[in-house]
Amino acid sequence: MHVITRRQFGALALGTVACALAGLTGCTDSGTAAGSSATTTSRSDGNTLRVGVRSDIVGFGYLNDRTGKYYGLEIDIAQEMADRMGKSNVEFTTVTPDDRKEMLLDGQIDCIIACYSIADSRKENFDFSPAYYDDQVIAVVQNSSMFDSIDDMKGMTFGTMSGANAAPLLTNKFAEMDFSKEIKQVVKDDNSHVIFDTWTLLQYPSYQELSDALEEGTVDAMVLDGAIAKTYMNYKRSILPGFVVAEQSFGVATQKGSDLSAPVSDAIQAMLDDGTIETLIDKWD
Amino acid sequence: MKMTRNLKIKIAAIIVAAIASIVVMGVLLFNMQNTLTQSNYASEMIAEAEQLDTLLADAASEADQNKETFDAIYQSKAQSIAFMANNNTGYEATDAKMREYQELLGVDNVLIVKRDGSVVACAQKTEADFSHARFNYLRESLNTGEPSRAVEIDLPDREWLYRYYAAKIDNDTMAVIEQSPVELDELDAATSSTASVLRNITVGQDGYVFALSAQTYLIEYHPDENLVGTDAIDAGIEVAKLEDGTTSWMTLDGDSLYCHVSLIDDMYYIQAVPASDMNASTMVTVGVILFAFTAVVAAVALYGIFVLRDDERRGETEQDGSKAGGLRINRRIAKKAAVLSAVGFIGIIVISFYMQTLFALSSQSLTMTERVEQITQAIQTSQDRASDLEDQYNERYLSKAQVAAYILDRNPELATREKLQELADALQIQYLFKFDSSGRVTATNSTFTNFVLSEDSADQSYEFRKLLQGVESYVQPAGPDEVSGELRQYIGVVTHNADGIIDGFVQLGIRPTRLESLLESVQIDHVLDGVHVGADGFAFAIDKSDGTFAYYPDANTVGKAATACGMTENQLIDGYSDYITVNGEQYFATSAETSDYYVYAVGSDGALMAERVPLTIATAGIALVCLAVIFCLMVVEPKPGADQAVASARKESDDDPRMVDVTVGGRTMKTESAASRWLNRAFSWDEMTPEQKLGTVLRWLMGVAVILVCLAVIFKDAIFGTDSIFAYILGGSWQHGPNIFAITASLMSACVIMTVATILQKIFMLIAQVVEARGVTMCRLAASIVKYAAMIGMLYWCLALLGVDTATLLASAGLLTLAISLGAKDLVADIIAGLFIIFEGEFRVGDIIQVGGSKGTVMEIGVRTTKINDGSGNILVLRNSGISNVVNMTKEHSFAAVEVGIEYGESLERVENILSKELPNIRKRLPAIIDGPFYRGVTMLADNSVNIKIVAECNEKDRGGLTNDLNREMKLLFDKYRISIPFPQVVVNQPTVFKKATAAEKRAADAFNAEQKEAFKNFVDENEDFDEFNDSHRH
Repeated sequence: MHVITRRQFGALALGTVACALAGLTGCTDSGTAAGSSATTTSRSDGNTLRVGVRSDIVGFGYLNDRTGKYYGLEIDIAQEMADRMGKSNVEFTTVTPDDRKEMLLDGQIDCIIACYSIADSRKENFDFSPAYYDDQVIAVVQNSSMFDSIDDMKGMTFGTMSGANAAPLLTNKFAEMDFSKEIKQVVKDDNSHVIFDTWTLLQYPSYQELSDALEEGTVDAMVLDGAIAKTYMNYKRSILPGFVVAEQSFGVATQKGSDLSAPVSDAIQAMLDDGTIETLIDKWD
Repeated sequence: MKMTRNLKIKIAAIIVAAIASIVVMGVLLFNMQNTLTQSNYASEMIAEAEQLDTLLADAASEADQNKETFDAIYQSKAQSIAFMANNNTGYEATDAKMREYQELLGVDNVLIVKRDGSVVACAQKTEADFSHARFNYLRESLNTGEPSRAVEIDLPDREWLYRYYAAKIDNDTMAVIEQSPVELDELDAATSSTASVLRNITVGQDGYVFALSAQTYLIEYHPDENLVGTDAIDAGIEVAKLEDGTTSWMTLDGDSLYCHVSLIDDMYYIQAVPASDMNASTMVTVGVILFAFTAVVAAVALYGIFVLRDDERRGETEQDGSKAGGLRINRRIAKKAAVLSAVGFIGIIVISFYMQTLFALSSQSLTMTERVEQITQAIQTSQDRASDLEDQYNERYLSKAQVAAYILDRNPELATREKLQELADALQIQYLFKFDSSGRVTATNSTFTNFVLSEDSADQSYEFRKLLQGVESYVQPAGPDEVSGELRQYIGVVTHNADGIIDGFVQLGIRPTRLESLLESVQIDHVLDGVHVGADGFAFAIDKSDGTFAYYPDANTVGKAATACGMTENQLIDGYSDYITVNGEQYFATSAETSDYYVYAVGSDGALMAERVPLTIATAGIALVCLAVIFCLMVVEPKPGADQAVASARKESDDDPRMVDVTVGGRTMKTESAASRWLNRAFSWDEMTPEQKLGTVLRWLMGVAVILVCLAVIFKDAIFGTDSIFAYILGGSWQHGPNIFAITASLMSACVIMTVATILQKIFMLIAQVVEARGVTMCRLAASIVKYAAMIGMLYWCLALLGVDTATLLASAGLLTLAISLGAKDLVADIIAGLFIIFEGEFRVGDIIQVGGSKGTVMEIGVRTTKINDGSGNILVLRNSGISNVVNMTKEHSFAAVEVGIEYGESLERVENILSKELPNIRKRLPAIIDGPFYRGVTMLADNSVNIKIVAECNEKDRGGLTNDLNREMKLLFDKYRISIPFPQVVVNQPTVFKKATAAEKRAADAFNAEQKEAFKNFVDENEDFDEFNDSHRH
């Protein structure tokens, strides 16, 4: 599996921005991590496992507004994992790519099971369980724009969701395949609008807004996790053929050095070994 | 009565065995029936699931076709703008012109856009930014010259839902149409959406299909709108059961459903049958069979218990502790119990088979009725849709014609063959004709160049003459072309010259292929082809007008007369539901009526029907085992010790006066005495014989069954729902005739009528207890009338259900009257006499009457007979017509009178003194005396005695006895006081010699006679005015 590291980023000509972009997802300042680990440990003594999950990704973590219940692969994994860890209760909290890191570090939740990909940058701050799901970061385009390959897309606009690590992965990928050489202009400081030599990056705060931008034509392709893309696919859209931005794997993240790290890893490994995860993936696929 | 311990154990064993049998039977029966019903539904669901794929694919292709048609319309409109722009028709790239085009074409927006996406002119502002790659499809038209593919933008949050179409004007410019696809979406929702497909699928009776997303587990479609959008898991569905191809029980929104899951394209389609639906028939079938079984088991077991107890009471049972000698068979029970068991066993088999048949047939009939209604509904819908679509198409073609007219008005130069061809291509039509004001074709792209409008009103083209007379436009309905025979449609719109004067018209000629295929799809054979009814059924149609097969799966049969293929005239109706025979094959069929056809859904006997024999045999097997066990328990008992085997002689109890031994056919049995029967006195339980007890129990069971059926009928909607099998049977939509439904309905009606009649009778009886004698009579009469009316009503109703023509029945009622008046006139006389007795009040129940030589108390005045108790327990049944010269002896008080003779020699005064002293004493001794006795004086100076009369007041019923008592008292009294009562005595006298009269004496005597006669004559005459009697006799 190909994992993009911060160090590789740094080696690129696009280093500055890439790091800045990666910082949104992977980098953290170690201060908060140290400060909150104690609270987490003390709280996790109880019989309740507090899990941060997504509320908007069908098939992984989806919150039914009417009932307030979560459904999906990650919800089932969390339940099963808690069972195996001997926890009687599981408390789910909705996390977003923007706040999940802080919530875990603050000890508001015990672990993240929220389409959180295992990345070296993240490993610095968190412990990851073995991967329970392998996914690709892909680009989705409108059929009516008639793009058949990435080569058609020079000069086009790519959209990502801010907070996801798609933007640094895409930058990295483009650099790797010689698609792009340099940044022309950073229009907005938060990197939500960056003009490169051969493409433009637009970042949106939510996947829905990203999808709307694609519908309208403001972005010509949206780059996101394959798992998440399913929710936003329709007959007018397709995945840009022959273009995989990155392979990535989802794992359960716990605080670095937490007491929970080992039991979580063991539980996930056991579930992988006895086929439970495979069954669950089948169920939700 | 104390029971011995042995008996107690034995009875307990029998009861336990009986209850165990019932439970075993219930559980097994329920399981068998359930399994059967389930597998039946499962096979139906699987069969339907297999078709679901095709249905959805059809719907999808329908959706594609809808979209294609929709797109073609607007592509053509974009093209016509391009045509106008290139053909000198006053085109200019201004917003005003765009608005004109928008109006003409009837679209939401018209724009002129450059290749780079800049908008040159627009009818109204647009949100679209055409520079985005998103609109590359539109730019494609600039390269190809063909109209572009549609680009749809759907952003519900911004209420932005439009489709865009472009056509090339020049290399850098294109005409763009912006159109909301709401119309398309509506069409899709009606014809090709998942909902439109699933809506038409039913499983069994109330079963349906719902769809839920395999991704979100949200319910995407459900017949109940409230459930759409809810979370299926939350509503109770277990994810583990959602596996393609599985059948299992699920719970949705609190309802238990039997479901089959099919997974098609990320969507679970679940065919569901409500448990209530499945259970309704199962429960009733099982319930009825179980009730019958319970009745039989109870009858057998209770009979055994009754006999055993009775035996013990009569001292026949062996004494405690005598266990010697193994087992023996109690022959007294064995024979009757065997008969009971055998009859009950046969009863169970019959009822079981009957119920299986009934419910198999009725559920099949119900399902098929629904199916055939669906089919007719489908026919109706497709016809409606065809006419809707025809209207839509007419409107669209008219719009095209108007565009053509608009173009030709602006630039008449375009009326050349080449240009018209170009325009026809832009408008996507086949032919364009330009007619001048005389009705002659001046230009066309077709081969009919020298065409002139016909003058003959019968011709197709004649109608277009009205365009030359001031009508703006004319849309001719599609019809076969006079020349080619193909389905064609012509539309004309007038054209104007430069001054705005009408100078002719332009005509479109179209081959409406879509309409053609649509009209084809409405054809009956197209609709019915591929219709599946249940597992192996199909549908066919018979033309109403000539009674021939309009469609039948076997092509050879189509066109033949239905009656020639085995069907009968009375089967050619709406709502037929019974067996039919076509070409020698028997099917179960239901029919429905459309405007032109009778449509039939037919199927061979379903799985339920096929299974009823094995099921009945299984039931019978269980019943046999259970009955055998109970029978053995009952008849086998420990052999009594030899020493006292015959010790207990049968001691017939004579202390029961109400039971009488009768001998019928050499066999002695007990029966209730007549008086006891009619007096309606209840037996006390212990007095009854085992047979009587059994009879009572069976009557109770019967009563319970009847009342249960009655309740079920009355509350059928509440218990079974409005479209249950019960409602179906009672609804009478099956064929009236000697079939199982008619029999069942008859039975159920009979139960209701009997229950109501019995209740009424009981009410009358209750009233009778509180009213006086005349009221009792009325109540009894009313009860009789209720009874007879119920019987006659029931008979009439049931015959009607069984298919006897009611008119015939009424006529036969007339005949019946005739028969009665001739053959049974006595009966009529009896009834009329009875009515007179009651209404004239000649006597009432309880009166003492004398009729002819018979006397007694009236027990009952019936409609036909009157029953009189003669006081010695004999019941006299008198025909009412024979009751005449009645002496009603019911008075306030009667008198018992005795006459006693006294010797002439006795002093009357002495006797009278004795009587005055003794009469009070007699009264004390005879309590029946109400008043008296009274001395009534000397009644006669008889030959040998002076007769005196003693009377005493008493009740009529005591009179006979009291008279005797008084006689006795008088004898004793006279003996006591030595008053002799004369009696005939023979006195022997010596013969006497009588003297002869002298002649003088004879003369004197004659003279005296004559003198006396004369004197008497005078005496009478003197009194004649005062003696009415004599007076009347003298005249």
